[in-house]
Amino acid sequence: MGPNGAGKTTLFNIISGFISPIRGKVYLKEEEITSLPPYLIARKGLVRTFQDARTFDHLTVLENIEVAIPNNGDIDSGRKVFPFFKTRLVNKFIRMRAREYLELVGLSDLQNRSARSLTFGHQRLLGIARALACRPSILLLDEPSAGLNREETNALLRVIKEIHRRNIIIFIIEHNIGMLISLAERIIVLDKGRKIMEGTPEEIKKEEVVLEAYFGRKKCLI
Amino acid sequence: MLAVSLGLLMGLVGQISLGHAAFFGIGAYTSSILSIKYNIPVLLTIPSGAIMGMVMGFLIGYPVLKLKTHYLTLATLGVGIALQEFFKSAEPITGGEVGLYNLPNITIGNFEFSSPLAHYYVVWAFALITVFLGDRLFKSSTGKKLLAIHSDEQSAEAIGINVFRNKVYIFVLSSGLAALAGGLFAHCSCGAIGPDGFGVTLSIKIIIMVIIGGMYSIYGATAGAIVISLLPEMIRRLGNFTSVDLVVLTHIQDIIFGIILIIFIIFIPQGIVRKKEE
Repeated sequence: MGPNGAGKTTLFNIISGFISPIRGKVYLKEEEITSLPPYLIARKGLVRTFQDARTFDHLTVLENIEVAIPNNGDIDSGRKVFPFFKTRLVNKFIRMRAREYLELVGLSDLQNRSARSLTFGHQRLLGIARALACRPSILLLDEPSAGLNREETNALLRVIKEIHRRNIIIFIIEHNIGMLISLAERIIVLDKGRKIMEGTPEEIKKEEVVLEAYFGRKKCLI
Repeated sequence: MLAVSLGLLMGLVGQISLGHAAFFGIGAYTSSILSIKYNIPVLLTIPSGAIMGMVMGFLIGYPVLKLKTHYLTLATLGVGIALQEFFKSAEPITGGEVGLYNLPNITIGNFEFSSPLAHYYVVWAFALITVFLGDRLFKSSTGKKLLAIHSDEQSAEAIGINVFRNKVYIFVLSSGLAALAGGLFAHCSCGAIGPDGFGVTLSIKIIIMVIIGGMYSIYGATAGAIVISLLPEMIRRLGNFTSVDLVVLTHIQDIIFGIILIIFIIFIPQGIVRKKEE
C-alpha cells in the first residue's frame, strides 16, 4: 500500500517487464528477469493484472481465457489453419480448461457473451481468470477492488482466497485497507518510490499513528 | 483476394497498411519477370511471387512493426510509394513506366488458361481457397491471439503472447497473399502490367473494401471487394443511360467512392457483414 504516486504500479510494471528499471535488478527464483519482454516473464510464471479491466473486447468471455492458456509453441500455424484431428483434441482440452477457470470466478453462465458486454465487476473477474489461465506461480493484482461495489468485492475476496488456497503467491496493490489487513500475510508501505515500512498486518496497524503522522491524515493512505 | 489479405491484417490485429498495393505489385512483377525473362512456367512463378512477397513482407515488417498506430500506417505509406517508384524507375528489370507485356498464361500440362472465362475460373478458385483459409485463420487459436492483440496489446503481452512475433507473422502472411493475388492478376488480366496499377490509390481502394465490408470477418472483406468492384460497372451503366461523358464519369466515380466511404465510417463503422452481438 501507499499514497497515490508512491510508485506501486510502477513497481509492478518494472517487475512484469513493461518498464525497464534505471537501476536495480529483478529476480524470479534466483533467475534474473530484469527487462525481459513481458510475454516471457508471463511464461515464466509471473503474471500481472492491470488496474482497469482490460478484457479483449473482440472476443467472447470464454475466448478471453482460451487465448491465455499456454499451448506448445506460440505460432504453430500450419497445424491450426488446416483441419486436423489433433488440433481439435487440443482445442477441446483448452476449452475444457478455460471453462474451469470461468467456473472458479463464477462467470460460467456468461461464457458466450462478448467481453465488452460484461459489467465492470465481471470484467475484473475475467481479467483475473485470464491471468490464472497462464498458470502463474506468482500473481500481481493491481487494485483489484477499485470501482467494485460491495457484492462484487465479496466475489473478488472469495476468488482471491481460492487462488491463495492453490498455493499461488499473490502480490496485491490495494486501497481498501480493511480488505488488505484481513487478507495479507505481510504488508509493505511505499512512498515516493521507497519502502518506508514492512510487517504483518498487526504490526502495520500498530504503526498506524506513525503513518498518519507521516502522511498527514489517514485518508492520504488511500 | 487482395481485400481478404488486407482484411486479415486490419481485422485481426487492427493494422492499416497503405502499402498493400506494393506487395500486390511485387507478386505481379516477380512472377512476370521470371516467366518472361527466364521462361519459367507460370505455375511456378506465381508461387515464387508469393514467396518474394513474404520475404519482402518480413524485411519491411520487421522494422516497421515496431511502430504503432498512425506511425505504422505512415511508414507503410512510405514503403508503398517507394516501391511504386522503384517499379517505375528500375527500367531494365521492371520495364519502367511502360511496364511488362506479353505475359504468358497459366498452363497445366498442355492446357492453357487463355480465354477470359478460364482466367475467371482460376481467379475464383484461388479467391475461394483464400477465403476458406482466411476464415479458418480467423477462427483458429492464432486468430484469437491476434484479435486479443487488436483489443489490447499490453494485456496480450501480459498473458504471455509474443505480440511482436504475431504481428510480423500476420504481416508476412498478408503480404504473401497480396503478392499471390498480384501474380494471378499479372497472368490473368490482359497480359500486361504497369507501375500505375500498384500505387497508393489501389491501397486505399482495398482499405475501402475492407471498411465497407466489415473488418471482423473474412466474409466482410469479400463482400466489400465485390461491392467495390461492381460499383464502377454500375456507374458506367448509369453513364450509358444518362449519356454522360466517360472522362467526367471517372471523376464522378471517385466522388461517389468518397461519399460512400464517409457514409460508412459515420453510420456503419462495422461494415456490411457484422459480428453477431448477443
